[in-house]
Amino acid sequence: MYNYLSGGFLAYLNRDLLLGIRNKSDLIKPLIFFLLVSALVPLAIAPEADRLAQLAPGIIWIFAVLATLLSVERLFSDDLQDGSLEQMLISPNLLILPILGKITAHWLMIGLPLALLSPVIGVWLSLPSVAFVPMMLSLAIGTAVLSLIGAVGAALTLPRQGGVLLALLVMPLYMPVLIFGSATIQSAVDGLTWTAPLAILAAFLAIAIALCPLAINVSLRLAKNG
Amino acid sequence: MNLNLQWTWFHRLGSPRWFYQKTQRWLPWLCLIMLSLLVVGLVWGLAFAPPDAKQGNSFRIIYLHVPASVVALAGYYLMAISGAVGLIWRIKLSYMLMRSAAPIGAALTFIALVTGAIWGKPTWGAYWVWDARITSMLILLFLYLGVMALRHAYSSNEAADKASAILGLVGMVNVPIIYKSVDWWQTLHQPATIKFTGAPSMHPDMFMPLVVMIVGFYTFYAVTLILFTRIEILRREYRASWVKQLVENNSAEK
Amino acid sequence: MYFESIQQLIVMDGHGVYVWSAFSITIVVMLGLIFKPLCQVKQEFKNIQLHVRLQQVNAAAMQQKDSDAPHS
Repeated sequence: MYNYLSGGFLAYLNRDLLLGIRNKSDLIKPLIFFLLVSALVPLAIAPEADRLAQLAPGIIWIFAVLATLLSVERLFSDDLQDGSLEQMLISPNLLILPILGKITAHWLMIGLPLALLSPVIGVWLSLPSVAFVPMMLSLAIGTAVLSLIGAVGAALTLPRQGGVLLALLVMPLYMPVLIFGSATIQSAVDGLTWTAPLAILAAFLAIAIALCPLAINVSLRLAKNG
Repeated sequence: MNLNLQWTWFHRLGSPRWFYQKTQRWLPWLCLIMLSLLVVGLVWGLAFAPPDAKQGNSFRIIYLHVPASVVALAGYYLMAISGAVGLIWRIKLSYMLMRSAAPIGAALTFIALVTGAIWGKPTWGAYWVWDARITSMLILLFLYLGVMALRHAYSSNEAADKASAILGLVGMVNVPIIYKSVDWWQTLHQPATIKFTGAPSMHPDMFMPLVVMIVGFYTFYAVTLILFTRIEILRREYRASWVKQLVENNSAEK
Repeated sequence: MYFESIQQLIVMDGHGVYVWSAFSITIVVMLGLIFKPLCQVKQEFKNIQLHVRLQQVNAAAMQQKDSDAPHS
């Protein structure tokens, strides 16, 4: 009954979360990547606290973008291979709610853990502690936008299974999120009001929730045929 | 019934055959207009316009840089809108226009980037500066390249057209957002040395050649778009009897 | 003309290198955009001619086969 009421949102959310939990390595890979590359930064640049702190807002956001890009590729391709995508597309309805369910599951498994993990990297890169809460909030909201936009790219490149093409399509669209995400952290470090860029990130999220599922719906049907 | 009559012109406009035959007649005139505008604009801008008080003669590059950027940006909207027209009314010709617009737009964006970099050297002392305009143009180039590359992911022309149209629309929603974000980011980090006086303060002697060049670049865009689309028509409509007829006549003339 | 001589037009107070290199790159790219489709037209016409001739040959072969069939 609750599946019927939520229009498939909860059904697909549950299903993808279950799949993710059963297959833990896929879940952990982007997080490990996030931690590993961040550990490389002090080695590559310098272990000086001042310099690292200066670079930290940008670096954390760049790695968050790369980590979501790594994982978003698999969003639909596994479903295409095992046939469950076909099952989903048989439905004559608009697939907005099932698609949103899948993306929410992706965010819960990638974006949210990244946000929760980010204080570790904040400590490693000697980010001032005032910026921790803004950093986690901006990552939590921003990665949701990244998941939505990334899903459009993943759906469009489904016949080719993502790869470099996915990065080429999605990276320019990620630019505004990257700018306002790192600006949130930077403003907090500088003692400015960090809620303004955060509010713009939230506005991006609202636009993306409204428009991205529509584009994904059309492109998934294309990808199945093309 | 009445409604149908009103829309016939629209669907005739969408016929590749109509387009091919009409543009055959338009092309010489368009080429003539394009050549005269570009020659007049360039000679006027490069040799007759007075130099900028601060930037000296290197400011003359704007007669290439600004028209190329304006048309490249407008070209993205043209590409996205013709993709949308294709999606909504299923008009073959608008997909062909969309496909042709991508490489032309990418080339114009490339011109804008290269001339911008060359202009930057004498003006700012560096070939590359993360100026808001240059950064937006770089992102625009990636957007164009994405549309061009996505085509190869699909085996059927039809699916590739629709996918490119969707990507174009997603990009169209994003272009103003990207532009505004980059602008805001620029004001946040702007070093004091990078300041550039905009068009409103330009003297008419400098401004008029620029207007001529912008119109010239638009006609250049129209000419190349028509030429590319005609190739696309030949490629996709090779089974149509009128194309075969056309080729027969052409070989008979030789 | 703003400049007093052609020499000055080319040098442009030392900025000529930048102006003329930007100019030549732009012209090369623009000429490329014009000539690429013009070259492709010939190739496309050849391809279509080939296609038409292949069709004719195929049709003739089919007819030959049909007229041969009753005798055999």
